[in-house]
Amino acid sequence: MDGWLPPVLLSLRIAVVATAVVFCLGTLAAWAMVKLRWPGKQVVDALFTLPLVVPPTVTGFVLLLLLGRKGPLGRLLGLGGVEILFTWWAGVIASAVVAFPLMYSAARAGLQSVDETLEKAARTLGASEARIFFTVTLPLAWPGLGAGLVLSFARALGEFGATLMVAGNIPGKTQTVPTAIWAAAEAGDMRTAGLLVGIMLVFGFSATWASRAWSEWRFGKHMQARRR
Amino acid sequence: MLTVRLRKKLPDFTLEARFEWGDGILVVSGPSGAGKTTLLDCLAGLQHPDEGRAELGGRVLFDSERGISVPPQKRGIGYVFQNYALFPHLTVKGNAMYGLRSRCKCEGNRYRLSVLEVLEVLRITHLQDRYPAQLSGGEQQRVALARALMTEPDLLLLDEPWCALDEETRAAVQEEVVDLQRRWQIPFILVTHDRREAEILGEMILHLDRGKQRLERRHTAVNPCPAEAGRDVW
Repeated sequence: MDGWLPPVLLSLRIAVVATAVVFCLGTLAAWAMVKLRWPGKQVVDALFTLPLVVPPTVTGFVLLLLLGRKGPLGRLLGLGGVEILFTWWAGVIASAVVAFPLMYSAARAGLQSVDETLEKAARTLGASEARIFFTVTLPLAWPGLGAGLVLSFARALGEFGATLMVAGNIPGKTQTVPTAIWAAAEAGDMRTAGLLVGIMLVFGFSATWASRAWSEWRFGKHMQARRR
Repeated sequence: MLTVRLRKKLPDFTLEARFEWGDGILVVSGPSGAGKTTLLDCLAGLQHPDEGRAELGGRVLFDSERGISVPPQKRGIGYVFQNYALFPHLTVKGNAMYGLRSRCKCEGNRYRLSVLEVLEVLRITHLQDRYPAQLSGGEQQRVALARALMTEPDLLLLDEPWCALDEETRAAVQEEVVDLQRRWQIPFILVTHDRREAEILGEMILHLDRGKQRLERRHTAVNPCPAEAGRDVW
């Protein structure tokens, strides 16, 4: 039973970076979808949700094509001497792409729940669009955004299929908890696998519990006596 | 002085309005779906008329011929929405102060108002740390008025401000609005579908029906001397 710590640390690192990226991009995409009018919205909406409904290996395969040496993105990166496949950055990209739809849908629901009259009111009070976004839209959409944050972090942490395809399972370099569990179980190292599974279970449970407790505390603080 | 001439095509009819208004309360009355809210939205800059021109105190608000449409942020028009549209995540004080940071109009003939003064005038000082959800309908309305007046607008729009209130509160609040108008001395445009209310409050009533206007000048007890403010410009 050895080497259980590096995968845990790497998984956390990948999940944190991927979630940060996905939080910003997902919120931005949802905002553009809810607040702006432009042609082809439906198609893009379906495209954004696609990684949620196809097997992660399909996502992984597409990423392999895009990021590979002959792929459009891979070639571009290659010009700058950057090779991304089978590094932990590829893990970040795989996790981010797979977690994106969760953040996007939650953020879209959150933004849609904000009463447009409030934004109009802010406009007549002289607030710039940026100020309206940060002082009215964002705080009121927060329940949705927060849910998206938790969900996408959990998804990023647990990502296996696409990660295995683009980042591989190189111990100490790209091996995450999910791939380490798989590798350990394959090799018959049930103790390492069990330990990692235990860590994931404890972590998952406390994250769910903490987010629920936090949202209840928030609810109690701000929304007390919502309607008399 | 507010001068308005506008035309806007709506799904069922075309809204046409043309009037001039000085100081006092102009009531816009008419059945639901007659274009009342659309008219207010056009003045506030939240909707855009197809053609026309409006001026407020010498400033152009929109002018279709010259392609001018001042954004709502810069119109200097207060708006009390039908459901008050208070920010649910901000306290009464937070709501009232929201417009202060974005606009600083330090000159002008009116004295600059402090937050506390306005809260005091509207009798909501004791509520300043509460959230909108903890207020009664009448209190919410006073907060909405405070928030709009705090920015020192040159015109105040009120869209059916008391449709959510019971009879008794209504009467009290109506008097308050008349009183506020006298204190602030800016034109108020108030929308209602209540015929009786229109007659009590308005120095001039603009009846709207399916987008067509009819003006009615009134000599009310509220303001026995409407002066030449409501001159019909047809």
